[in-house]
Amino acid sequence: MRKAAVLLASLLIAISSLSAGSWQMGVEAGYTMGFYDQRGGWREGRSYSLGHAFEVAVPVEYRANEWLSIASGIRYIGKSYGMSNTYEFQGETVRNMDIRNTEHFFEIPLTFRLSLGNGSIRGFIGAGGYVGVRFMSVEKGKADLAMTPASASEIWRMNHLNPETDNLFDAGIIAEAGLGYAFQDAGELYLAARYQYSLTALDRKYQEDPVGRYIDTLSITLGYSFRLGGEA
Amino acid sequence: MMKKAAVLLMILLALVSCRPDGPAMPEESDITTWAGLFDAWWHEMNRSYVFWSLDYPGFEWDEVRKEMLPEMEKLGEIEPDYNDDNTRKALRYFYDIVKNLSDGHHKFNFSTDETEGNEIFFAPLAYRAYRDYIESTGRSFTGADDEAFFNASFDLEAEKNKRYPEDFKKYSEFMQENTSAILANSLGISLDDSGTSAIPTEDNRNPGNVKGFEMAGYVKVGEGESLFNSDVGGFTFFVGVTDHDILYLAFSNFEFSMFLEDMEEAEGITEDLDCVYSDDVYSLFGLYRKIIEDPVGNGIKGVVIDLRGNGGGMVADLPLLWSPFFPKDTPFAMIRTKKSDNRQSYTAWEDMVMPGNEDGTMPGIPIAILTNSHSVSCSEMSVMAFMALRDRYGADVALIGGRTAGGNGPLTTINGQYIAGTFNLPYITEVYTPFAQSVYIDGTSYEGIGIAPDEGYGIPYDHSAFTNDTDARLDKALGYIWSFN
Repeated sequence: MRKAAVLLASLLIAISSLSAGSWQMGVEAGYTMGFYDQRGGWREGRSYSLGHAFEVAVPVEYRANEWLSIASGIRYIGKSYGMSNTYEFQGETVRNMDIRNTEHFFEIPLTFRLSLGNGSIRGFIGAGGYVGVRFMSVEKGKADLAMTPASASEIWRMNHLNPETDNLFDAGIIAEAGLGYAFQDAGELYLAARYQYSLTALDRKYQEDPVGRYIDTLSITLGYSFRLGGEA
Repeated sequence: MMKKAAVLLMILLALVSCRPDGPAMPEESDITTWAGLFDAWWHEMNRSYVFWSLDYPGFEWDEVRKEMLPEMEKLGEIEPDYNDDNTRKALRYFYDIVKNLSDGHHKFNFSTDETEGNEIFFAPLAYRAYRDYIESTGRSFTGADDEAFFNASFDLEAEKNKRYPEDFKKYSEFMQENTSAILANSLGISLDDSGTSAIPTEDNRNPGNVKGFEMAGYVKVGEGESLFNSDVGGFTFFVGVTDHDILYLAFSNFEFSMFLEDMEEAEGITEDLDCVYSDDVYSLFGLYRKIIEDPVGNGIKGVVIDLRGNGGGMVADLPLLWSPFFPKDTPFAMIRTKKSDNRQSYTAWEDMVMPGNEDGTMPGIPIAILTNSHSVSCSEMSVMAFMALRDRYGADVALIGGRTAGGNGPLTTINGQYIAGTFNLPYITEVYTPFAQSVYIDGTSYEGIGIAPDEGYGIPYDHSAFTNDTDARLDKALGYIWSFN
């Protein structure tokens, strides 16, 4: 992760030295929807649902000119999904599991953006990728195991990450779009939507014939960035 | 521009399809060869077995498949005949893997056809108990012993749960030291198939005249009795207070909740009971609860809980029996289940909690827990609960007798309740295995190992002495209680 950050910083500095653009930096935060995708291991009573989490970022953008920019930064993102299980017992459907899982990541994105605007209002679309590291995994909810009190469902439980079996590395591709309003030289307020498609499974390949488990996210964020230097 | 956009889209689509499909599970009707059956069983174990952090923790389970699949392929089509050479060879391969699993509940059941009594099984717990028995006789466990244990599984004339070598059946602690035998040998109560003492009353506290007790009652449920689709035949329960004011409790299984529910549903009307013994079990259990809820007030100096030979049962029994000992809700173990089909994909550990009593008090009297190699499941959960009582509140608790079985995971027979747990395949009629793994609250796993008695309180089993009215383990437990008085 550190090497990726150094490499990225070097790349951005190199690009900026060749062009007469401007740097933007800011803060961004928003809501993240998580979509769980599992390849294999289907069973009748088991279902997965949308997860809800949030993200916070320090975005950095190099605007090469009026329509092309490169965006990066560092981001914390929560990727969440729901998991539930029902079964039939004496003619009734019983729900014995209802767990919300949240995986926590630090990420470095890199996207290339195309912008269109009239000076005050700017719209952009972008595409790129990200690399990240998973540092925490938590779950909350009912698992209905033996002698676990009902109150346990209200507590977040830490799921120990094992580097031998859990994939701590995350990487994927990004598609994004946004709309910003510039306050002359004071900065820009913007609203963005970003879809992240994970190319790395949650589990390492430590066994033959694994079931692939992935979390994709759709984020809606609000951010503010201000110019650091360079030409407008 | 359009061409570039199309190329970009194709690259994106290629990346999108980079999620490989999951494992291809064969249709059960396609399983006709030993290799096919082995592969299906190997895959099912991936998702249904929960002890992968204990067994094959270095992911060697994949090597098992690589090594065994070619061997199974040599055996060709499945011939449903135990006398067929390839059938024996194939089952020997399964046996050699299953016998070393940590899972103390595990039973690999196999049948060549659906004939009643045709089923055989391999159980790692029984294998370990057999090894311990051989070593207790002073000799080393050999390949010949291993072969004898395997071959005994095919004695279809014997009762299914007794297909073991003869000496093991007759003389081992695992097979002989149980509640019925304790009542007969140590307390002089011979019950045969069933029987009940009259329930003790204030006027007649020892209607069965059990020697050494000023109050005693017992019941043994007849064979063939069932409750809520579970066989409760043979359930044996004794509660008594010795002449020296020690409460002694012994029971064969954790099945009280079923008898109590039967009484509740029948609203006390005897004719409406599904089991004729429910009334007696209910009354005796009530007596136990009355004493333990105020032991000091009832003049009790200590408690001996005899779990020797207790094969476990309903988890619901644990708070019914032990909450009176606990001053508050007490975590005593942790439990987790599988989150996905991948071997080491688990939910987070959750605390297993023993509910506390309403008074918020501890009995404050010494407690001796008697165990042996057949104390398993809820018996071991009970031991863990009392270990937590000692570790957390400083209660005087001693673990006495023999090491427990090492089978701590809960089980279910309901389909679809969890990813992990019991499953079946063609010919493999049932792989009986827990849906969750549990460990003691400090994280120690006793699965496949068992909980040892406290230092100085381990007493080797002596079959000859036990069957000649000398119960050294019970004597040690009583001595422990007396040491406080």
